[in-house]
Amino acid sequence: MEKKSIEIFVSGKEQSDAGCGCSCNCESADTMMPTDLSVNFGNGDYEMTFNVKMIEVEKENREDLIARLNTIFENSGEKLTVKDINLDFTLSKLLPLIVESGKIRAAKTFPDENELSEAINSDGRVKVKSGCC
Amino acid sequence: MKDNKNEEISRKILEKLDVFDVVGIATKERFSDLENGRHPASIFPEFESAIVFAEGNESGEMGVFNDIFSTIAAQNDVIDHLNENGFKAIPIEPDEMGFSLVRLGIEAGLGGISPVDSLVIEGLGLTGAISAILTDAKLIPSEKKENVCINCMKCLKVCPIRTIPNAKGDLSKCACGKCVNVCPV
Repeated sequence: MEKKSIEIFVSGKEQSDAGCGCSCNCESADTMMPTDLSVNFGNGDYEMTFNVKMIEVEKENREDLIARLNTIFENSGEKLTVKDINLDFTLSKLLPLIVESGKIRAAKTFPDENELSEAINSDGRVKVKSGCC
Repeated sequence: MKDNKNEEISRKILEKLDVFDVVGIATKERFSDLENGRHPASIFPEFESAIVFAEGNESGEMGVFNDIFSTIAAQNDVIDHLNENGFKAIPIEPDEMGFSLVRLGIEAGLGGISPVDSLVIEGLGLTGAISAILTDAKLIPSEKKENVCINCMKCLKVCPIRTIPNAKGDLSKCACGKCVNVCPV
């Protein structure tokens, strides 16, 4: 069976800060970090099914990133269009963004591997966790 | 002629942001009492107007996903609209400000101040998540709202950091959200 691809778009800041990755300063100690999700989803039961890739947005070519995000938004039925002038603002409101096979599965929240798996299986999305802005 | 143009721009901005529960505009005259560092001009020197908007968050969640995307798209659309008309505009981030979003909301006619220093919005109580865009466009200000808070003091009774209305309190201990749940407005 062909492995599905999971891309986790994060900012370098989110990877180093404590907290859930949102910018609301909730600093919830028991929320997932992107690296946790990547490790958990890349192992055990999920290892055979998914390829997980972390994408640190600051390290990406801006033009390529914009084109890629716009394709993801379009594939996911969103009317949002990102441009160079609004890229930083848009990312600040959306990251972490989790995409599975080109479709958005979570934004502004780090789900655990079970929540993400459920969203993928139901062709849905993970809701933003309570307490995050 | 310019007033007419600004009136049209203001109207369109409010229209574009109708994805939010409440939207308003405040002009710089309304912040004349603020000192440097507390004034919106401290992060945007050409500041003339603030476009302020809020969304209710009664469930404790930000809501379904589409809301996040459509609210970002609406803000980007407003900034584009201002840029196309020759004005600068910047979205503000709560964690980079020295000034109060609550004050912006009050001056833009979104609501009033509560005894626990939050913005009270009619129909949304204290649940409003607020954000704003600053611009150098001289927009048409919204009418301010009076007496939104009914002074029931329910929020103050559950507040862990205040016993006196609008006292400063230790904000580092302010995260319980109890006031949000009890406000009847």
